[in-house]
Amino acid sequence: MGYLRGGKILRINLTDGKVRCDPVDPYAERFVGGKAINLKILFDGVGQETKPLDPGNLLLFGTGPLVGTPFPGACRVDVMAKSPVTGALGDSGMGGYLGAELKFAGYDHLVIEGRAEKPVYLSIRDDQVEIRDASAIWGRDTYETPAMVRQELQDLAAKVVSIGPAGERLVVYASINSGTGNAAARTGLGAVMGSKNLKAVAVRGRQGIKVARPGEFLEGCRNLLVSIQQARFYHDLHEAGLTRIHDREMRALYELLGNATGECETICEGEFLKNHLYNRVGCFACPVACFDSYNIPGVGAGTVKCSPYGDLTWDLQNPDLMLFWKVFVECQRYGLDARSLSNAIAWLMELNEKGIISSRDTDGRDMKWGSPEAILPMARKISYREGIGELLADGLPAAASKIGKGAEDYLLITKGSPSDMHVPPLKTRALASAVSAIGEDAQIQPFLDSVSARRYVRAKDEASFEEAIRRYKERAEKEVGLKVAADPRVTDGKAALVRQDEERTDLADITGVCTWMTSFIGLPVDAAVMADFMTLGLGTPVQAEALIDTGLRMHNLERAFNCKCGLTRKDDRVSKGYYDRLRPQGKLMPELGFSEDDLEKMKDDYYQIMGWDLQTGIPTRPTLEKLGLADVAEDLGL
Amino acid sequence: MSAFISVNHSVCTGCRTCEVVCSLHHFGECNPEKSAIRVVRREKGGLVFSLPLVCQQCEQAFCLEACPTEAIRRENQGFPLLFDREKCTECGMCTEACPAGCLSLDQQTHRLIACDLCGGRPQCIPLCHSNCLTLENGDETDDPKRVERLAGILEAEGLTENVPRKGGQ
Repeated sequence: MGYLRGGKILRINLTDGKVRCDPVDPYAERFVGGKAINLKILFDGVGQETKPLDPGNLLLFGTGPLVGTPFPGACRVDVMAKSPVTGALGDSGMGGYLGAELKFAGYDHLVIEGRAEKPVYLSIRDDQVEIRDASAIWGRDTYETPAMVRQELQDLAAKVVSIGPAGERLVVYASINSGTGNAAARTGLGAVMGSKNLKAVAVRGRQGIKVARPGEFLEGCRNLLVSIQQARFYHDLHEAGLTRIHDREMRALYELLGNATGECETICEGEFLKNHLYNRVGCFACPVACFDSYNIPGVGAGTVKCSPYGDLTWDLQNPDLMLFWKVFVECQRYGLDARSLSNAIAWLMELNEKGIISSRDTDGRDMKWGSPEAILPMARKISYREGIGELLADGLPAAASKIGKGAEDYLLITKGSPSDMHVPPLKTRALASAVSAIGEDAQIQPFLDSVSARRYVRAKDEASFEEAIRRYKERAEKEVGLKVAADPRVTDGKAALVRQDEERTDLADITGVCTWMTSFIGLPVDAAVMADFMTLGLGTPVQAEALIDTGLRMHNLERAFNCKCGLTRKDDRVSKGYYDRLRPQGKLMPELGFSEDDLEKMKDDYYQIMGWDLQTGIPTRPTLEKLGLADVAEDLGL
Repeated sequence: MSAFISVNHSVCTGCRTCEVVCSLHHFGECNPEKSAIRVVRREKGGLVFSLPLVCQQCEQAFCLEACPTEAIRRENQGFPLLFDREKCTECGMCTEACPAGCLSLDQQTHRLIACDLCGGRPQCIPLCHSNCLTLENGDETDDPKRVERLAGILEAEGLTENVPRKGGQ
């Protein structure tokens, strides 16, 4: 066991029951950890011929080098596989306690391959790894499963993640859940787990992680905590998670989208929080503790943060937060991605409004905007593949081609993955979604043109707008070298803003730190901070630049994997529904949105920044070689 | 009166930072098994309940009375308990005697893990993210009630079996 790392990659083949440990060291220097090491293993192990639900697909759980230490927010697990939603990279991060426990057990990564003959779960207790019968647990939800697994293992402190009925039924929007609010919900990883007949993973570690310079590491943590607590939003975050901020954010977003009904104005997340909060909980080592827990008699209990509040209210024109809560708890229990559910319901509502479908197509229920009768049964229907749920369970593009009649035109997806409905498709957001390896990545949220767009909508005239965004322009010049990047009306500089934000999340993804510790919500964790703590932990110098380079290496590897899956420049696009969505006060504002030409222009800029081929969007050999990825170039036949 | 770490579990977010801070300070590694403060968690029905357990520095200490080898002692009334690992025979009597299970034996080395207040400046306190832990001076009248209060919470919440004692979880 070296410093900061468990030292081992645990590989489990469910087909033949073989368990093997590989050292993590050969990967560590070039890829650091987390998502980057996961990607290299996936890139090497899964090719174009492997279908997402084939036994040959790999399901990976990867922690980062800081996970398990008291570094604030170092809790993340990167979950990865070839995605049944996109047919390319599937990737979703989760917080909670699994990552630290894996590290304590001596593992940095867990790689699951093959398919068990019958339902099983994994028990990992330090060196003792067992594939155990799960037939008695199969069919249970993600609240019941951890309790049953802990009971059977007689270990009340085991950390358990599981799939629910949705994952068992290979619903492509199935998630992997901790049962207490954390989920790897995007890109259908629950379905991959289900395809392996793997119900749950239980981990207990007692070995610990060594730190080279413990005294300084602790001192650093104390200082970092002080600067986190001094951040502008910290107090509000710690007291109410993102909930009150998110409430304001939803209003601002719908000011740009302009299509919510007046009734949604009555939504008040802060009020709901005040009236119903059970307690606040957080992930391992987290100073924020962003999760709100509710235990509402007759409705349901569970733990939530951030986006689902909006997914299941504003996005469906539903003003009732109690309805949100009921549906969200079902998503958690069934192991279903709430955002994909929301997107699917909104799509049906849109199709109903346009007369493409009627209640005859939707099990006799009228899919009217905001209708509780329309919204309530859908989590169950999709998770259990009942009625209309069967149509949606294999993905929205497949459903659209079955419905026909132009239903496809109303999809809001990228690379097949359902988008966040309340993200206004400004230029940066459209580009970020188009070039993202997983379809839309909610963590990429370039800030400058978003705030400028809000100023634009409210500005009286050009002069007052220019005045309002002056400081954003100055910041843009400082950060990406181009003032006009902050102007939401032009394409210039947008690729640089997107890349800048990707760099931020790349760093978090390779070290295992939550992106919420970064400038995303005004907290101070950046490359320099991470490098300092890596240095103290490893006892050998780590440079911030080296971490940034690793992030870039990872981003190229993502692209290389998708290229291996057959994706090229033409797949970096957004669905038709993305265009012309910005209608502040009901009036189309095309200058804030983007045209097909705008998107192609921004893609050119982005590929240029990345050193990718403009025709194909594939990394060039010199780019890969410069990043130390000659082996990847070789593999791609470049 | 001896100082002790007071626990206000109602604001605990369950983050376990205190555990890894403790083991990092004392043993140079992040390992809850070697931590003198342990967060007992219950995850049930989508909800989490967390209670940090740490020595309450009882004046009439159950652990001290139970120890057959004087491995647990106290210099003077009002001073923190002292743990002598040389004298400890790892019998586990103290871990059973503490009503709340605030001491444990390391599963690997069987060494006694107990809070020494870090020489008066407990490392876990400044890094507690929710101000759940504070260093307070004990009140004599309140003394036996402190550890019993923790035991009572365990009992009331049905968490007695979750407590890491000798050979426990």
